[in-house]
Amino acid sequence: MCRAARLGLLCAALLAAAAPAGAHALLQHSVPAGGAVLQHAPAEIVLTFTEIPEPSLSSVHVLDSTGRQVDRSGGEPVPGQPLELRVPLGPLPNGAYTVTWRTVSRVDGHVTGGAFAFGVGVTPAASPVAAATTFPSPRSVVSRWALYIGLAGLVGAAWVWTAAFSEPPRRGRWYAWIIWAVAAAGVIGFGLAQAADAGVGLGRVLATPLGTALWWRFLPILAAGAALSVAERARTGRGRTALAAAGVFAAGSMLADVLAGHAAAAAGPLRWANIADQWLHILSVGVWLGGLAALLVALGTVPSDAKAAAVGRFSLVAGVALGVTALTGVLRAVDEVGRWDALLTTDFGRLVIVKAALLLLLAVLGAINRYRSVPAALATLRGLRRVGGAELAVAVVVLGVTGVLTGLAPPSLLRQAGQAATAIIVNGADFATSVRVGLDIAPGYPGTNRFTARIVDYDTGRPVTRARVTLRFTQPDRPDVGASTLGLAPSAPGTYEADGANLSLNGTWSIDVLVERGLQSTEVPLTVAARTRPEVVRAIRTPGQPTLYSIDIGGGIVLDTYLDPDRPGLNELHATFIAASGQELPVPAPITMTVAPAAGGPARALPVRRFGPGHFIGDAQLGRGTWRLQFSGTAKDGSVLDARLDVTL
Amino acid sequence: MRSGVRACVSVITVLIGVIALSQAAVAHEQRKVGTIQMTVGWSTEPTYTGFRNDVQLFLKDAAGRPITDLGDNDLKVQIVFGNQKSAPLPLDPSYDSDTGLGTPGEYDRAIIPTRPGNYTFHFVGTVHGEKIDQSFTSSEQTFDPVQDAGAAEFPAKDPSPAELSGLVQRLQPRVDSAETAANNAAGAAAQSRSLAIAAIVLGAAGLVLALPRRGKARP
Repeated sequence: MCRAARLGLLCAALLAAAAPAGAHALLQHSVPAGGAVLQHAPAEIVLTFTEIPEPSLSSVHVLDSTGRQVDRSGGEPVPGQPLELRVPLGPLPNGAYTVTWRTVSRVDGHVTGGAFAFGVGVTPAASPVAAATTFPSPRSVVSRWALYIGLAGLVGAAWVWTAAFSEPPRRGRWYAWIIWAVAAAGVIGFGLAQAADAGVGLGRVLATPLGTALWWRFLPILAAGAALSVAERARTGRGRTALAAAGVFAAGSMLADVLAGHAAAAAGPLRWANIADQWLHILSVGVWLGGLAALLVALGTVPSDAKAAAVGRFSLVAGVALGVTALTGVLRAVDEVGRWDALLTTDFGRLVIVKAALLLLLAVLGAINRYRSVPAALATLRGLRRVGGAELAVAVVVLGVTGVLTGLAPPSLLRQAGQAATAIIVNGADFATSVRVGLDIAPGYPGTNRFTARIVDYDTGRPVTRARVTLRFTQPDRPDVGASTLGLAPSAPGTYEADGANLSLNGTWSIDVLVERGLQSTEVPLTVAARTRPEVVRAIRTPGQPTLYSIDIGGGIVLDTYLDPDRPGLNELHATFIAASGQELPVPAPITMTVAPAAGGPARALPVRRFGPGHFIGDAQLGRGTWRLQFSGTAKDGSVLDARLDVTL
Repeated sequence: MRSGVRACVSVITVLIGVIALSQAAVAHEQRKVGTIQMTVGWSTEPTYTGFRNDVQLFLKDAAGRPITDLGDNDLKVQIVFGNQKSAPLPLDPSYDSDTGLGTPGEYDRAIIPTRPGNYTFHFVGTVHGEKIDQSFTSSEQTFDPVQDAGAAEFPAKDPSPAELSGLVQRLQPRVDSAETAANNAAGAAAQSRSLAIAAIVLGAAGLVLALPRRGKARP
């Protein structure tokens, strides 16, 4: 085995031992959940992210309705739970609160942010969990672009000048040092970009795992520089070995970059396959396009037999590299984009299309070279240089697109965050701190839900298997509603699932998770606020008549409401509850009606009078604009009749 | 006509009475074993960990009369929780024929359930010559599973003895682990100190060795 190969193996082994990386730390779920209405102020807010956030560079703040910060720490790590950040809170009065978060991924420093609201004793303004993944900054894109150009150039020069040609060309000396400098500047620039994106100094970034990942990229480049230096001074044979070593180190830096990117972010058995695929992808780009640049540098303008032979050898390898680039690229796109619609509906997908189109153009130019310029290389190098130059110009654009792509969150990751946001997720532990329970309730509205409990040992995090898990539901605000239970069946190690309609009403529920394991049996108390079902509103407009709104409030019950005369000024607000049978639904106690400006502002209660068993009228003085009307009552059987409607006058 | 209405009212009254009386046994499981009717549950529900309760059994014969003449060793109950089984325990009659106090046909066995979850009562023995070997398990359809008392505690929710015991059991390994880590750290610090001293000594020796050479080189 040659020295270069040994060095390569050593480099790969060292990099394989490096810590695995995350990509974008998007919010997966939180306790309390976005939109939750709590009876009591929480002692802390716990946010769980899709990837590990770097706590020292990330922040979480809780603001009250005036925008005043009410948290103490701004976010701190949760021991043993690297995906989580917590914010301890002091006593909070009733009100709506907004949680804003900004995370920096622990390894590659991607910045994401978002906000959600929860209420203590009040319903917060409708604010779905918003996760915003910021577009990569220009300096981050440029530095990545430089890194890829430099590394691809080094890999290409190493193989073309040692394998395609019999010895490195004299004119290549300056070229090699320029591409090395571009690669080194790329890493340094990337570190500075990460620091600027995180809003801290470079020193602070270097003290985190992000800094470690930067060193893993930079050290092989330094080693490549040393190898280039040796290659410059050494005799022919030794010089070739040193040049090959420089290429191997550049490949090692590529692997370090892959380990700190999207491919390494996935968990599970395919993680290493993804890493290998991504590495092969950029390595083959280096062999193909970096090799083309090195070939053009070495060829000069005067043809010769030796040059024609080198061009032939390059063309053969470049063809294989093109195939590998296409295959590995498709596999990565499938993994990261996941669905056809994401190709057109996300920035990431659209850029993948652009990159694929550019690669197709490169393949066409490559084919022209392969079938026209290469056979003519013995007589003239003009065609090869012209088409090859065009190829390189397109390649520079492709690498720029790649720099943007690696800074964007792939649609598959966004879906993971989005899917999680559709379920209510609550976490808890028993008093004895023997188990941790994460309970997902999907979709979280009153009615049938899927309950999925993930139970792990409190200390080791190992899944708790062979347990009998039962959920016990009570509604503290409604002692008249009896308790119910739901047994969960094991579906995976530590995961127990079942469907049930136990969450039958709006409001806050206590769920005791009973985990039976003989003498280790324990109960984990959890509190869940059921989501308010999005209302289906039908508007019936008749000329000369007020608009009639039919609001489906669940259980087959409809609230018919209208404003009379439906113009700015004094209006009568009519509300009639209709049962599933089509008859007016008797409502024993008068309902409450409130109006508030839809854009925000205090709500005022309307004087309400009864007009029928289920028909009520409120008097409302309304100005021009959009108003939020809210109705709340209780049916004879105790079910809650809540509805909300925005109307514009 | 009036007699018909009266009859209807009587039937409805009886039905309501039967339903109302049967409410008392809602959280018990009833089963007929040969000619014996067994009704089993907790004496107090909801059932909380750490609080005294009783395994409650009502026995009636084929004619529906309470059985009050059960011998001391005629019927025993074994309490099963997970893979834990108690010894067969004797049942105490609730009814005292001398004083007339208690409920005829009721037999109890005192127990303090210490863990939340589902319990099984396994009755073994003989009643009026009828062999009994029956198990009754708590569930939503039978009698209540045991739950932690937190839900019913006010104003403060104090942990149950079982929860405190579990916490203590969990804390000990953590303390041991922290102690081991502290010892390891102390060992590593001592090793580092030794290495530092050795390095200082070596450095000093190097200086001592180097100084005479520089002196010799000058002339």
